[in-house]
Amino acid sequence: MKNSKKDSILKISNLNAGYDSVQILHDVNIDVYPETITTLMGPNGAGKSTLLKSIFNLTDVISGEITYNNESITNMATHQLLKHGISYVPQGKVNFDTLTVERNLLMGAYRLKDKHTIKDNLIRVYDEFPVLEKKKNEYAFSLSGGQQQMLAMGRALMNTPKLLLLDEPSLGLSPKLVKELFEHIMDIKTNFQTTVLIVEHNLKSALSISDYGIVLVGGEVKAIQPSQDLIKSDIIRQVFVGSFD
Amino acid sequence: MTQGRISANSISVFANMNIFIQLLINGLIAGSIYALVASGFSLIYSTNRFMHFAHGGTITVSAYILLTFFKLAGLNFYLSAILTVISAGILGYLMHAVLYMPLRKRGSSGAILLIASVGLMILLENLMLMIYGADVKSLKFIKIAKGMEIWGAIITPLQLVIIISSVVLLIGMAFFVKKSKLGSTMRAVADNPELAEISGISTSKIQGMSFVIGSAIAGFAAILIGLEQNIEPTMGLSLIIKGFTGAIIGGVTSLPGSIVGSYLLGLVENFGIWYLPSGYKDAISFVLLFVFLLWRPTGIFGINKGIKK
Repeated sequence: MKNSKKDSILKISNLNAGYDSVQILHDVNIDVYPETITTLMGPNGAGKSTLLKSIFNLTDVISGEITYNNESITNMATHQLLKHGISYVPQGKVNFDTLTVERNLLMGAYRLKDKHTIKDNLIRVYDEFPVLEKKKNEYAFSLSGGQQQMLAMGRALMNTPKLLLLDEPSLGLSPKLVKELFEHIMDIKTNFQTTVLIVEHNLKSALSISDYGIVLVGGEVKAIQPSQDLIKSDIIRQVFVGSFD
Repeated sequence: MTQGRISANSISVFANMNIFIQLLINGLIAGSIYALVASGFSLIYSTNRFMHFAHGGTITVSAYILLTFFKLAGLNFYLSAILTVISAGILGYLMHAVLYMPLRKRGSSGAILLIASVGLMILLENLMLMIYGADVKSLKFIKIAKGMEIWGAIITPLQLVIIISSVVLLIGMAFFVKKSKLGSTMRAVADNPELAEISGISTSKIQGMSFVIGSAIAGFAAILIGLEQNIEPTMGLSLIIKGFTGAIIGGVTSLPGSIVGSYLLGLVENFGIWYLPSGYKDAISFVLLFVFLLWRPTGIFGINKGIKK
C-alpha cells in the first residue's frame, strides 16, 4: 500500500477497555495512517463503538496505550483531544436540537478563538454541505435525517480535525442518501486533509471508499488489511454470514 | 400594594376603567418581580436540569445582605446594592460548588438534588432567623412617596422603577442568552450536556456560570423587593413558588418563556381579584399552574421538538 511506509497518525497498543468493570475490548492493536480512510467492521456487540469511544476517552481504559502523532493521548481530557485535532461524531445524528443550524456549527468551533479561522471553517463546511447554508437559521430538530447527519459531521469539521472519528454515519439513512454520504466522506478526506476512522455496517460501500479495513469480533481484532485485500478474502463472509466460530 | 379599591355604589364605565388600569399596573409590578425570580430559576434549571428551590433562599439572604451593608454598616445605598448583587452571585456559586457538585459526582439524580435544594432553602431561612431574628425589618431608604395618578390609577415612583428596571434587565438577559457566545453555550449545555462535553465545553463550568448569573439576578430582585416590601426570613418561599409557577407556565427551559409566563401570572392573579376576594390570589396562581401542568406541561414557549413525551 502507498501509505504503509508512513508513520501511523494513531496507534493503539494492547488496549483493554470497557465500562466500569465490564471489559469489552481485549488486547486491541491497530494503526491508522495519515490521510486515509479506515473502516471498523464487525457484528453487533463487537466493540466497534467502544473502540471509537476509547480513543475519545469516553470509556474506562484498563490497560494499554493510545498514541496520536507519537504522543500518548490515553485518558486525555476532551478539550485537549479537540485541541490536538481529533473530532468525534457520535452515533445517531446527535445535534443541539433546539439551536439553529449555524449555532450548532459554531459550537463545533468552541475551542477556536480566532474569528477568521472560524469564519473560514464555516465557509468550507457550507461548501461541502450547501444545504446547511440554506437552512442555517432553522432549528436542528427540523432537519431531515440525512441533513442532521451532515450537520453532525459539519460540526465536527468546524474544529479543523486531523483525525475524524465517525460512528455509524449511515445509520437510518435511505440507500440514496448513504451513497451521497460516502461521497461526502471521500471529499472530506481530500478537502480537509483529514484522516477518517469510521464504524460502518454498510460493508460494501465503506470498503469501496476506504484504504484499510479492520474486522473486530468479540472485542478482538480479527483482521487488519488494505480494503481491496479484505474484499477478496474469506474473512468478511466468515464474520458476517456467521460461519466464524 | 394598593388594590381592590372597589366601592359598591360607583360602578360606572369610568370606575371600571380605573380599576382595570390599577389592576394592570399591579399585575405588571407583581409580574416584574416574579419574572426576575423566574428568569434566574429557569437559567439555572435549564443547564443544571434540576429544580433549585433554594433560589428563594438566595433572595432572602440577599435582602439581608443589603440590610447589613446599608443599615448596619452604613454604606451608601447604591454601593450596598452593587455589593448585594455580587454577594448573591458568589452565594450561588458556593451552593453549586459546595453542595450540588459533590452530590452530582456521586451520581445523584434530579430528585435527590431537588430534596437537597429544599433542605438548603430551609437552612438558609433558619440561618437568617438565627442571625437577624424573626421580626420584620425594613430598609426605609425611600420616603413614603405619594403615588402618581395615571389614568385614575395610582403608582408610586418606586413601583415605576421596579417595572422599568426589571423590563430593561429581562430584555438584556433575553438578548444575552440568544446572541452572546456564553448564552448560546448555556443553551447548548441545556439542550444536550453529553454532546456539549464532546464539543469541548466544560458543562460543570457552564452550570456554575448559570448559578452565578441566575443568583445575581435574584440579588437584584431582592433589592427591589426589599425596597417595596418588608424583609423577613420567610420572604423567599412565596417568591420562589410564584417564580416557579411563572417559569412552568412560560416553559421552564426557555428564558423568554419564563419571563412571559411570570407577567401572565402577575396579571391573572391581579385581575382575578376583580371577581374574587384578594385572599384567593395564591389559589388563582395555583389553578393556573395545575392547568398548565395538566394540559401544556411544556409551557407557552417550550419547544417539544415534535415528540410527545
